[in-house]
Amino acid sequence: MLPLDGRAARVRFLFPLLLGAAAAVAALSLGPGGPPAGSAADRFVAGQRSTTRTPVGREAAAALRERAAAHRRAIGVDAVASVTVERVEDRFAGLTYDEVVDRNGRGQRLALQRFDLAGRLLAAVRFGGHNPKRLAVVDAAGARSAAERHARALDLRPVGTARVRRGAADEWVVEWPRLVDGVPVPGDGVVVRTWADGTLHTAVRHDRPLAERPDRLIAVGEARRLAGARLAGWFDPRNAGEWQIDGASLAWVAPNDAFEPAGPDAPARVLRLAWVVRVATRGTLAEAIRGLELFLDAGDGRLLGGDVLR
Amino acid sequence: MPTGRRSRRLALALLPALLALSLGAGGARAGFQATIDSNESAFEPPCMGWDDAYPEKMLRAAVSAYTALGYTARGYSGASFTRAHVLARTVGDWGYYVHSHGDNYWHAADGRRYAGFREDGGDCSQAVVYSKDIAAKRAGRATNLVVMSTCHLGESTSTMPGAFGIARKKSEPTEWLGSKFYLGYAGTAYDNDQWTFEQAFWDELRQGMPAGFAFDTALLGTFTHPFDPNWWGTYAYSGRAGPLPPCDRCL
Repeated sequence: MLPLDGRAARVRFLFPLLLGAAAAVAALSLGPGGPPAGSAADRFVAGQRSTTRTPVGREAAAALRERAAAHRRAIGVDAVASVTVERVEDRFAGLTYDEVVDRNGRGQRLALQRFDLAGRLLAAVRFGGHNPKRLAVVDAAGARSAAERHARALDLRPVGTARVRRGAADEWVVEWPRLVDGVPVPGDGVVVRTWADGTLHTAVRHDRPLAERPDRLIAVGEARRLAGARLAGWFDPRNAGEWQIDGASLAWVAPNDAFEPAGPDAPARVLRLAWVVRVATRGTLAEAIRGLELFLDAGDGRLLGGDVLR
Repeated sequence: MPTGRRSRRLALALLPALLALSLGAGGARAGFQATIDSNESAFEPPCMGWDDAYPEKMLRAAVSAYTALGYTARGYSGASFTRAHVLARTVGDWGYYVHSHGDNYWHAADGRRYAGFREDGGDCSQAVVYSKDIAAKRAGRATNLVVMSTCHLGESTSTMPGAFGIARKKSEPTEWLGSKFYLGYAGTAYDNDQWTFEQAFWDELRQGMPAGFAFDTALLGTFTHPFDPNWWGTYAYSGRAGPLPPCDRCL
């Protein structure tokens, strides 16, 4: 046993180090972006990282590896040297999923797959492939067929009629938008991006939860009137002739802080039925804002958020 | 206890915490400057009757991301984000981000269009910053990570990448075109879509994913309008500050 004086001296020496170590742990867990992500109580704040990753149990990981391996041919990867499986909590999207990543012998990512907690595929990416030696280039119809083939092979189960358009990066974008009782859910549905030759780039399914539909809906005319009154107060009278309501239609939207900076920085996970009022601009006003969308609650006309086209 | 000893002990106690924080922040590499500009004034009173949330939060996210990637990053908006400020800072920028109105603007003196974006200026009348002016100031100087959070500056004919010394060429994961990556949007792009894409892009980069991998993963977001992000540069470049060797932190 140490003499009292010696023990006291050691305590005096060790205490600051222990205090420092504790502070280091606290600092690392807080990180530069603020409180740690992970708990449901955490609200995403701009500037923070939005995802946290944790290991998946051995059995669950093995099952996910097997599920992912079954999709490899459809995704178009081979020569996989290693596979990692992680659980990802995404506070921005309000979603938790398992991510399986295939790597080559150099450790580079070849492909990624995301599964929901019931094991359904949510998304797949084949990395690279931007400049393949194209033996064939498909047209829009060919791109649709290729995307249907990819979606079927990945069990993404698209519903309805596909829309096809050219993407910016020498690719096709094939979308099956989600409709609920005939009302669109913008952003939801299945989207497959293929390269010009029809090979897979990305595939994703979004299927966000919906709030209860209001018992009674305000009329479209009322939505336009409410939006018009708000816009008349928002735009300078000198720009009065430079904006007009272009249309209004029902859609399921994610409430957001577009016009209310004190609101949450991430869009709401649960979608609400809204009148989306579209505003077109011209002249000098269009030099700042090209367009605007207002989301008005379909039940009571409250402003739920919106979108800005600069 | 004498004050000096107490101070030394406090310093000793705080040292591990400070080290941990600096590691967590990615460790800014001195001299690798990044400028983050966001046009707020055009979208708040008195220019507009509402206070638009996006310019401010996108600025915060970009400053935080560039800092985490090792840049000495500073954000500017209002009267501090002017055309003169952009052209003065660009000479020293290794990273650049802007969120504003972008287009291929007519340049009357040259009788042609150049890619560009609007300054903030702190008032309701924003001058255009043309790619031509940036190119002249930079004179071919290398850039690391450039993000044009505007409409039109990711189009295949854009003159903006060249202003930052980035050719409109995409590398494959195994190909190295230098420590450079340019991100922009083709056509028009709504704020919700840009915000969703950029948050995922920053998040992937901050985990150590190289920029091309981060780009492809960010394509999985929920986009509510036709939305076309585009890029040029080195797919496997980490996005970190400085003239890094090939395949730095390839994952």
